[in-house]
Amino acid sequence: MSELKEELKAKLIEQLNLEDFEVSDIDDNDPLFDDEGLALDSIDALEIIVLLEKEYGIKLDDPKKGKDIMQSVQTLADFIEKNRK
Amino acid sequence: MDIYIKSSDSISAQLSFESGLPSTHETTEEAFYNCIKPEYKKYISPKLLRRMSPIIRNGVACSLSVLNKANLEQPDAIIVGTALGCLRDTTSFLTQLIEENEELPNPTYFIQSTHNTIAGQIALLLTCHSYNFTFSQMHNSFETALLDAQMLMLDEKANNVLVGGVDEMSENTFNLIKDLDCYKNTKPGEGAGFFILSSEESPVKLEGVKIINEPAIDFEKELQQFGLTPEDVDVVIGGDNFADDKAYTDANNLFGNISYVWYKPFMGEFGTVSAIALWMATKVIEEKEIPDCWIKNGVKPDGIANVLVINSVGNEHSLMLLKAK
Amino acid sequence: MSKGIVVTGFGVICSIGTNADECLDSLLNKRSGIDRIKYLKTVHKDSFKLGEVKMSNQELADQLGLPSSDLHSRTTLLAMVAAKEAITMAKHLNGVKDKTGVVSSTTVGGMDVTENKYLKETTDYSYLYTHSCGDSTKKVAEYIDATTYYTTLNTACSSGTNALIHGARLLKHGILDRVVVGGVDALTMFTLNGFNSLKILDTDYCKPFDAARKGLNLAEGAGYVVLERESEATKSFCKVSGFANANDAHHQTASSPDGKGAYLSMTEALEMSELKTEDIDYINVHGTGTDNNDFSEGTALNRVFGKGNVPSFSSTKSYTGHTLAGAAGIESVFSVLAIVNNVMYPNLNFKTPIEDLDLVPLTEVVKDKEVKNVLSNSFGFGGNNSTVIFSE
Repeated sequence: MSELKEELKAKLIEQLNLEDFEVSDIDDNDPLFDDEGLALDSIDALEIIVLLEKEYGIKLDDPKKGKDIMQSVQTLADFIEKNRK
Repeated sequence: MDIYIKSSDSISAQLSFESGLPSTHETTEEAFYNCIKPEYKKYISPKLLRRMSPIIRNGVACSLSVLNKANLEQPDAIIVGTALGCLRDTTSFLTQLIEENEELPNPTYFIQSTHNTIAGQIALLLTCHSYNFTFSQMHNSFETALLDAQMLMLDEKANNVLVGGVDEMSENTFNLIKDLDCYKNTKPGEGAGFFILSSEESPVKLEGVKIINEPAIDFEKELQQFGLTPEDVDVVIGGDNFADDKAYTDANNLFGNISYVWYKPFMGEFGTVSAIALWMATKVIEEKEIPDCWIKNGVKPDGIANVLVINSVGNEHSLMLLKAK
Repeated sequence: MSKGIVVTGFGVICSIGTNADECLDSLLNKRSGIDRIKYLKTVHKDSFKLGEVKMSNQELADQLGLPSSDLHSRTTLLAMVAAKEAITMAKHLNGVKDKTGVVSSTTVGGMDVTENKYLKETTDYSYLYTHSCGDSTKKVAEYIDATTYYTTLNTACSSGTNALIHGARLLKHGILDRVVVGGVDALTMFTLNGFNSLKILDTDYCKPFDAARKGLNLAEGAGYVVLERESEATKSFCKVSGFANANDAHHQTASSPDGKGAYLSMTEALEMSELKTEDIDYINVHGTGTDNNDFSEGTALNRVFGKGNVPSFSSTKSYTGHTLAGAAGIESVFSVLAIVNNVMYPNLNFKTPIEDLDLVPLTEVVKDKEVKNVLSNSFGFGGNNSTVIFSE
């Protein structure tokens, strides 16, 4: 699990061009879409949907459902663990 | 209404940004001219910068610079010209699409592939709800944007208009376009030129812009429309792309006795390089002198009142005329 | 400033017809052009429905009297068909004019050619010449002999109305005497995958303004109207009485929940037209069928006209699909046809109003009412919102 979370952080940094972030800067429970955390936006959410499908084979067709899943690296990792193929 | 250039700036292959017409220039050894990158973070927050391709960065930074210089928070209109638009993101999306057989390309590339991403980003940054246009007509992209700005102001729909031209070049793009005729003799380039046009009086007046789709430019006829003869022109800013271009040959002959400044050999050839040429013309009037390195025929100007900018590629030409107030 | 600009010709090609008569017939007989994919090469062939023009490039070239379709992108061919119909009508009405030009619009230009040749091991680099947005406009201007001035707008899906606005100004300032304005886009793998990556495509028929709407159907087509100064046009079909462009300044692709940009473009166009809100007989809404657009546009409609007082409206994208830069041009032609024929078109596939908005579009053809003033909306990425009003 912790391996998956580290991997996710690295992938988020790469895919979303988070130039000012290192893996160690992101806590598992940092809010992804909040200014207190990574301050991501709806375009990033679309990119995360692509990432889930490409890297973990999980299809998420309705972006609205992503809200709960994409709260933090922790919730994302939990979701992947449960659904990955 | 008279229209003035209240502020201007350019990002180019030379040290032009936040500066005057540089006293030296360099030619590149590379296959194409890359522009000198400004310190973008001065104008754009890292959060926004992370996603922006070079054309968006240059367009936004140059726009914010001229707004700053004009002490203007919100323009009454934003009008941008770009010949090839956000080519880097377009190419990225297209490559991904084809290489991965249409499986899950990244949406960000698509979102930012639209030509009006630049003007849209400026509006978003300024929360500017006003008129927002983007023109794309190859080598006349900037000129038609400028004409639109001029007409909008004459119709009294705007007092301060942000107008500019911007294009980008990359290794990928270069490989795609290098065989086009217009780059046969001049290296391709990239850059941005932006302006605040204002109804408020300032030293540089925009007399007009004219687009000519003919085999040649009839300079006497065209200048007549501005009430001028060729003898009234003090400085010509000519593109001169080393090619056997009739319009430039005619211009060199007609304006052989006055200061003839050239720009394409040092800025590169690209669809909106004329925006940088207009910036040069603005600086010539503001600074009332021209560094020697820019004068092709060695003739120093004897007083600067009328400056004519010429852009020509094939059968598509434009003239832009500035006047010292 | 729009005072004195009239429409003297129109032309259209899209999934419901290859000319204005055919399109009107489809509109009045509730015949949609959205169907399974037949022409576009894509791996998503069986996943989506599109509004394709039911003609191959060669058939289009033949109709245009061109020796071969190879020289042009599909975008250019579609534009030529509609622009030719439009200018032929204007010439028939008011003769030949000296200073004639074209202000067109397209979002992807010659992408249809580019994507078929790009990255392929080929020495055929002809796509370099057809790729840029300006190329199709130049070719159209040359084809219909209107080269005094030509340019291209690309403000995504609002482009066509912005082309009309620029064209009207060119007439007012005497730069042109006649101008063909509108827009075009051909279907491409690029846009299909692009909109798919945004998750805003409906796999079934789109349902604009319906509570259960799921997204848009991508489509292709071209639409142009010819504008002239009223003072010099002996005959015309209708007037251009108002227009405006405003920016939503909310998000790169999404519209604001309060529809600020749409509100501004509609109110400013109404102001220019000097019409009252109750003077508008019909609204051709942008109505893409996406969750976001229809809610935002609906909210703006209620703000401008007042809840319960929104005039008869419909989205003809339920017939044609969303043709991107073609949309505003095509819908301008439909608006002109509504005035000329005193008809209003239904909104197909509508069942249930969107909660909180209480907006019910026309669901049947209306033929027994006078249509004097039509307002047409077109919105695009980058928060770009445009409105045009045509008047009898």
